[in-house]
Amino acid sequence: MTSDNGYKSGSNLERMLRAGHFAVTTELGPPKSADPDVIREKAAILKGFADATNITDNQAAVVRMSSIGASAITLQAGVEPVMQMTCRDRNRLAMQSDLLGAHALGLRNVLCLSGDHQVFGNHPQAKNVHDLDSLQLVQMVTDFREKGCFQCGEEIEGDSPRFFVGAAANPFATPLEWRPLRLGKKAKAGADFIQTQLVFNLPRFREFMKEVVDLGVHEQVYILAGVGPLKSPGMARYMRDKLPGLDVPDEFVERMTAAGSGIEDKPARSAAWRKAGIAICVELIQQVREVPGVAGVHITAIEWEKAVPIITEQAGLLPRPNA
Amino acid sequence: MIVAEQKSLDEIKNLLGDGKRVLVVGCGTCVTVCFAGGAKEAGILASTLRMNTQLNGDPKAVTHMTVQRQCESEYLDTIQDQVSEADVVLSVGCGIGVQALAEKYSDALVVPGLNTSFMGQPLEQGVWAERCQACGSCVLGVTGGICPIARCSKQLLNGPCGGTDDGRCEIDADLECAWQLIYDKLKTQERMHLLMDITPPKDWRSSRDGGPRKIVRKDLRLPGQEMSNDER
Amino acid sequence: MEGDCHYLDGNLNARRRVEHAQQLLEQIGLEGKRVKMINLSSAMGGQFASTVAEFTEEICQIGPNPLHNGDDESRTRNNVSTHNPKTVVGPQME
Repeated sequence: MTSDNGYKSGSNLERMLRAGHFAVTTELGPPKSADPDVIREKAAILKGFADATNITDNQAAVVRMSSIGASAITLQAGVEPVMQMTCRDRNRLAMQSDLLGAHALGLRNVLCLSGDHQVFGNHPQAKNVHDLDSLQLVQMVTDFREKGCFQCGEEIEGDSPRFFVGAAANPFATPLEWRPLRLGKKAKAGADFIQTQLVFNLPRFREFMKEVVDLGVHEQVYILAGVGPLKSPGMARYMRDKLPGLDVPDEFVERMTAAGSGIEDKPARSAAWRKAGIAICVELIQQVREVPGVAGVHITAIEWEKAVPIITEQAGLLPRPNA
Repeated sequence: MIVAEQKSLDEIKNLLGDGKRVLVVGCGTCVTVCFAGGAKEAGILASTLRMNTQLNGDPKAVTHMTVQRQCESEYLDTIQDQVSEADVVLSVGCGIGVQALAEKYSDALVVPGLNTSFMGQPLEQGVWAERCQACGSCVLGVTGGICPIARCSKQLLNGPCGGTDDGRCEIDADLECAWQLIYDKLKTQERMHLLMDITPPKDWRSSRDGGPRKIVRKDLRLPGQEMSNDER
Repeated sequence: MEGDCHYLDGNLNARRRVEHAQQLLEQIGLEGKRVKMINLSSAMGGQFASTVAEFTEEICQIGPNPLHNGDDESRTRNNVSTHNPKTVVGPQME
């Protein structure tokens, strides 16, 4: 079921992608407190520089303000949110309940994720839910829109939530040859858009997208390539060696190291690193834009929202069009 | 098999409290083969408790017995006298054994000496790994014989997630990614179509989520036994 | 020597069990050092003697088994002297 003007949800992100613009999404991490002003400040930094902003859901299994709460505040602040929902913390009752509430609050984009395992976070003792997995969640959310019913099959009486539904893809996790097919499975489940894991290994990403295009999946979902600015060589090394599912070639570690070499003054060196990190990010955006099948970029500037205006400016993504 | 591990000596002593006469009860089945609570382990634990409590100036009289299966009440008949003479019964059977003992000897104080961990298999001498979660509706037929409920850290049915790192699970490099194993197996079996199907949400009612479970087999019920609610 | 056992893995398995016994003793509250395993060949008579003498000294330093203390009857019955550690010699070791 689509609304009268043919849109599934009517969200800004949906309009952008439908209109054929190269879309830009970014990310906002809610605070580890009940303070709404943190969100308003971050939203103010990002306003006008992206088509929609992801609001993370207990990312890295660390308790933060809920995505639904923070998304509502973000919307009020004039920035379109993409509410993220993981399968780690909620069962299907809580998920559907939250989705009804989210729609009632005016939220229109949802990103469905499995979620980082809680051992990574600050409450490793918690019970693990995973009643559904991300594919089943995608299907459940699109069924609201397409079938007007709950997961149990019961019809929704009254307003049925109509979301623009997203999912994630990781071109760099094993088994590599399975990933394009898994993306296809998410499209089959009803996903409207995909945001990929951070792209640093461009040749690998190109191979992945070639397979995706060969399968025709790029015509079933809008694919946004994940990019993000590095802050320091330490961050690059950490992402290369410690974070699962990330592929950071050595050349980026080397570039970041070189950017700061010879600079003794710590603030100056830090600034040089950040400048290099942004430059790398801009280059990557320009490169992924050329890869067939890529419909946009998802810029993750973790705790560095101020980098987003700079990156989007230098990458030639501004001004954001009005769809 | 059920795999368990002994609790720490401190924890066991806390559970024994002031009880002076302790009977350690071992079990000859699962906990024997995982070397946690068989006759040998029961004997060593009894000896350890005797010596340790004596050293600490508050000696306990600790004896031990082992039954073939602690989870079936008929096997528990043999230790009736010893149980009645004990202040505390320290069971080194699995959690089921502890409960069976407590139920059979309802006047006795029965405490557990083990932490029952999982259903699994030995991988090599001294190493056991979890293999089954008793979800009540087995999916092994479509996953190449590898269980995603027990072996995937997120219990995905449409895995893998994006955290697979070189075939290992994101939470522990020693853990194989169950979905990598499933993928490899189905590929070898030329049954990749099973991976392309979207597995719908699981009905967890058959699992512990639906409440404590019971199975009644009418074909095995003896004449004269009281009919259970399920049979009426 | 270690790994050169007449029984192939025998002395490696024994090593593992001796270490476990030492841990159990520590857990009980006794000294793990009361049990020791050394590898010697049958040709090393002199070393055997000095090793045993050394160990005897160590045990005397640690002191008598407190669990037998004050229990004269059990000591007499078992013919246990407070200063003679038990020495177990395995079969012909290469």
